[in-house]
Amino acid sequence: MSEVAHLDGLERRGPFAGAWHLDVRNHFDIASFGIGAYVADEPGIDVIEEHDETGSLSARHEELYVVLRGRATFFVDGDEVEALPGTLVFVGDPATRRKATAQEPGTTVLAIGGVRGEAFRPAPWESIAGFEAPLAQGDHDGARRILQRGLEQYPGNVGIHFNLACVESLAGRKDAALEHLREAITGGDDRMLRLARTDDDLAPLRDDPRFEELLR
Amino acid sequence: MSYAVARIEDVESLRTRHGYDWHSIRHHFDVRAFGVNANVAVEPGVIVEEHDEMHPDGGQEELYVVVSGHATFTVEGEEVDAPAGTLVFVRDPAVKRAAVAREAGTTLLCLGGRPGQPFRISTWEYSRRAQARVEAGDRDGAVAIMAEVLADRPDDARTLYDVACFESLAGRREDALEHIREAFERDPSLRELAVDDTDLDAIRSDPSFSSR
Repeated sequence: MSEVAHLDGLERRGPFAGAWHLDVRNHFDIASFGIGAYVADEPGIDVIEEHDETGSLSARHEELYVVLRGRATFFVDGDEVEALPGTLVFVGDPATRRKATAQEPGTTVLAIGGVRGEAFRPAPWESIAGFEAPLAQGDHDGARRILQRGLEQYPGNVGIHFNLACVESLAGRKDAALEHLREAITGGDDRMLRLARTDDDLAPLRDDPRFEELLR
Repeated sequence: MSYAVARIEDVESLRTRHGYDWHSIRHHFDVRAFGVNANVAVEPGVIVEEHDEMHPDGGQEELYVVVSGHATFTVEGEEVDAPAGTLVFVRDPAVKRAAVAREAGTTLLCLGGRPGQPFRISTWEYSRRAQARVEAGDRDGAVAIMAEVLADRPDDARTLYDVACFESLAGRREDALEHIREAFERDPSLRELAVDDTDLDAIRSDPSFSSR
């Protein structure tokens, strides 16, 4: 069995932080490595948003980026790298911070990833892909359903708990929000506490004494 | 350094017998989570030789990405027009697939892996690099490359066979005879392959070869 697609024909998801995500892996149901393409319609957009691969929604992938169209500036480990089509940027260390900013309209970067020595398994972020769309429409039930399905695949994942806390907070379900926030904050990832202090989605919880207690 | 950068055309390459250049991206960066290489057409013609993934070293699902230029794939007997930006995914290892470049410079990214298994570097990747050393006149260098894969999978029949071939070419007669004996023991069908394999000519005259 084979399947054929063209980058221009793949469904665009997002935009996330300004860039469109073309979900190549899910389009073909590729099971042995992660792969997605990212498209920036305008210069100045981060076609690869700043991240490392150690967060709770990440999978500690080694990643290879391939510039397919346009021109990008990569910022990796404090260095700047100009990248024309045909440029390969390999980031082996999951802890390395990396991002790429588009310099031309239509800049497209392919990202491929996997974990050394391990069979491929989709990253936790993939399991909750798309929850932002119903959330943006005020459809809290729809967003919650996607996140709950992700939590079934990755029980105890603090990033998914945190996102559920945000959804429940926005839905006015304070008790559920605080419970998810507790799971997120006590899960061993310090970043959750920092996020809880700044994320506007949690504003409806801030006057609750239980919120203050969690953040202590 | 925690990262590395290269352009596809600057990644070390070898000219395949089909005429396209094979750039070993996986080896260049030491990628260990998936297979990734680039095939670049020197002129219009074969850019992916017809093959399936049913061989003992296979089993990979493969994704081809047309990075630049224009190709025509033939997958399961059907032609697929593939300009730059086309993705061709072949899940089933049994499916025959091939591609020709319609213009010089056509560049394909070839990605692969085995579902449910940690990525393992294919023996053919070592053999291809070793063959390039042979063609460059460095037969000891070829044996050294094959020693890497032998250390990784000392019991694999096809690996033992390929190692024996390069040892034979390098004049390492005793090593070659020992490894071909082990290869035949583990997979008797390799005897058939050895009949016409000129790489083994240097040890074929050994009285013990036919009985091994």
